[in-house]
Amino acid sequence: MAATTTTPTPAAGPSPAPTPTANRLPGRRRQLAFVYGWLAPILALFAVFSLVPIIIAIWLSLHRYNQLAPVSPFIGLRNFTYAFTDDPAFLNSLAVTGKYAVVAVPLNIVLSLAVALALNHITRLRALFRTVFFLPAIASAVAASLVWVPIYDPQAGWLNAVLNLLGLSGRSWLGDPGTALWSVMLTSVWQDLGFNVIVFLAGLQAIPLDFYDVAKVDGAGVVSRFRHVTLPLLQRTFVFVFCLTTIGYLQEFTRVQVMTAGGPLRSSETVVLHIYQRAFGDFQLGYATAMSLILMLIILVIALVQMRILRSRWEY
Amino acid sequence: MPLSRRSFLGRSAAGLSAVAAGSVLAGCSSGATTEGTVVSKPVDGKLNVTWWSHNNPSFVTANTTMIRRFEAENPGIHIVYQYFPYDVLARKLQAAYRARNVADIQQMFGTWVTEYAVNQLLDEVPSELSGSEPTSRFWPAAVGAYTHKGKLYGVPHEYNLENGGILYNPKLAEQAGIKEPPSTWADLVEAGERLTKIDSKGRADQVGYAFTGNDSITFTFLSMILQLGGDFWDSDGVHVDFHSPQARKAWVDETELVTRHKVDNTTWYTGDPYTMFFRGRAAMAHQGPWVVASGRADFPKFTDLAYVAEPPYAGDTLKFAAESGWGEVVNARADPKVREAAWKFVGFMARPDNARIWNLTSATVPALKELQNDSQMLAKAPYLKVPFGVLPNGRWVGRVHDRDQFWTFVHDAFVSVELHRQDPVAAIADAEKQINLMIDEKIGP
Repeated sequence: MAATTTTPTPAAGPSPAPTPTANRLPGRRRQLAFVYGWLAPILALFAVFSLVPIIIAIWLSLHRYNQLAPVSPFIGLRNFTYAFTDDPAFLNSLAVTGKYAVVAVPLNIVLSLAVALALNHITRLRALFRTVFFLPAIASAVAASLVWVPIYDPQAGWLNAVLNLLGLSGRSWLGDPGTALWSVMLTSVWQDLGFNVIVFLAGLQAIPLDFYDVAKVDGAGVVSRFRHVTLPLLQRTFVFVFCLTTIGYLQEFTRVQVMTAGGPLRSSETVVLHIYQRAFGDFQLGYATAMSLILMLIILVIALVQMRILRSRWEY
Repeated sequence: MPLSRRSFLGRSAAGLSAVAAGSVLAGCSSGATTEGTVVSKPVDGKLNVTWWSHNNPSFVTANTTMIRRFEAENPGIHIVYQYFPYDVLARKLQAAYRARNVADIQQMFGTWVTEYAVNQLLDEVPSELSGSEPTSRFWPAAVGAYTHKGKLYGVPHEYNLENGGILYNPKLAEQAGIKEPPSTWADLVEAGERLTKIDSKGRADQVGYAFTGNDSITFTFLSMILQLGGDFWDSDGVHVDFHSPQARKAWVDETELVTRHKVDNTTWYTGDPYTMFFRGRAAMAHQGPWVVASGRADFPKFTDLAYVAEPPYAGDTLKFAAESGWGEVVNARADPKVREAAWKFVGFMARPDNARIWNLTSATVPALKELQNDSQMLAKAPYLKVPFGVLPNGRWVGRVHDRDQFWTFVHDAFVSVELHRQDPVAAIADAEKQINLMIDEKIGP
């Protein structure tokens, strides 16, 4: 193509003085320069605060890094193989995290959707209820955990007190390996519910009422309208809520750290807690970084799969 | 979560740091400021020596008292003092040594010291301070972690024992018809059984002998092995050996305290045994002497308190293992003149008259042999009589590498037996395997 263009060949002799028009870049290049110019600051921030740390993390994961030692020997993939072959606590933490996400994500979504549907149908005091459900979400995870620890107390906690009143025997909710994880999970769901309720409520309110009117004219009942109108039209909201909630629970840390510190018998030790303990308790930074990268890959794969399965192919 | 003395330091410090700041301001005359955790700044015209410590209020008060006294004797030297929360200090030291911007002197927990000494980051203690042998001046248990290849790399302040004494509630004992504190292991177990009260739903209204805290489980176990004449270290001196007949017997007997005698249980309460005691919910509790002062401060209305000797489990002396506690180390890369001044200050603190003040103020047991049974200390802290009686029987626990993991593996094995998930022999074998794997990983190829 270039051979057929009519680009003027430079004439012999002195070049003509450049005109303002000649100085202009071709349109596409100008647009790109404009875009990159505006993006430059954010790209620089991304490089400094994301890209460089990732590169350092990869470097760390390939070394036996001891902050105090003068040298950090290169050990290749040893940290990665160690996680799967010599550290049963890591495999345990993966299982705990998996269990946590598999139970807490659907529980959170079902409950928050139910609450959002209820709030969507009431007109009086809706703002008050919305605030009540959202309040735990704005509390810090540490504060929320500290509220729940005394509730679970086997001696003086009101959960056992209520059970006793009902003639049931209480237990050490956080001290028993059979209940510790579930107890923390309940706190998580309680605290995180409000955020998803607000998102679902926004999704529900964005659905045009015409769809419901048409469905009603066609004779669709409440269940049918929910199944054939609400659920499909909430699909984009579902993708958002599902991905964010899953990623959040796969990274669960604060509440288990405050409420159980991963115990008893590592029954509530999530991956991030295990990584934290190895990094800042045992100062095995190389190994902790390798585990972080493994977790990152797991989350990436799960998020991609979720987005692929739940992707929406329509607009309204 | 069971609370160790080390984590107690951090937690109590958070709540009481404001109190400390007040006492610090009163104690530190030159250039004192409330800015952050800096309590004094460099002074022009003086040789400034920087010092970091953790922020437990009683330790800060003791430290600032030492600064005031030292600067009065040495007007040309100024100690620039900063303190940090316990966890922050632990991490800050690692990062600061790596970045070569660490203080000239640091107050370190003994168990941390060995790692720094091995990596040649600490200055060797001058001979006039260390004595002919480190153990000539200091108790072996207190100085163990400060030594590496026969050389001393820091000066310990305290003998950090967790064994030796039991919190005892005479009122509850009398109500149960027990006239005297237990003097034998059999007495202890029997008293624990009689003093435990369980309601119809299987919950403990009163714990007989609270000992299932993270520290107590491990220290009791190690102590029982030593009293049976065994050792918990393998013949290589690096790995642990929990397969010996003594270790197995000790472990079975310890776990039977919860499975058979039911004097305590890790699921009966959250928190630590000593809190249960000071709330009047435990008749006896196994805890080191530090807890007496802390308990009195936290529960000032509680008066039914006696601190009695822990009866031997086997034989007639209570042998036990102890970690090395808090002490001072000096940065090997500090300026030579500053290092000299730093050691002068550390030596000043280790003088018996100053060490007495420091130990009394911080409610700790002295690392200096010279202060054993010190009459002035006993007059002000009579509860020290019990730990003073057992100090010669203690030995350094040894290089545990990762203290938290070591203790957690033993604690988890104990809970595993208590919940009937594993039999005692399998559980302790599992703990031994995990600890040795951890040590191998720490040592590296």
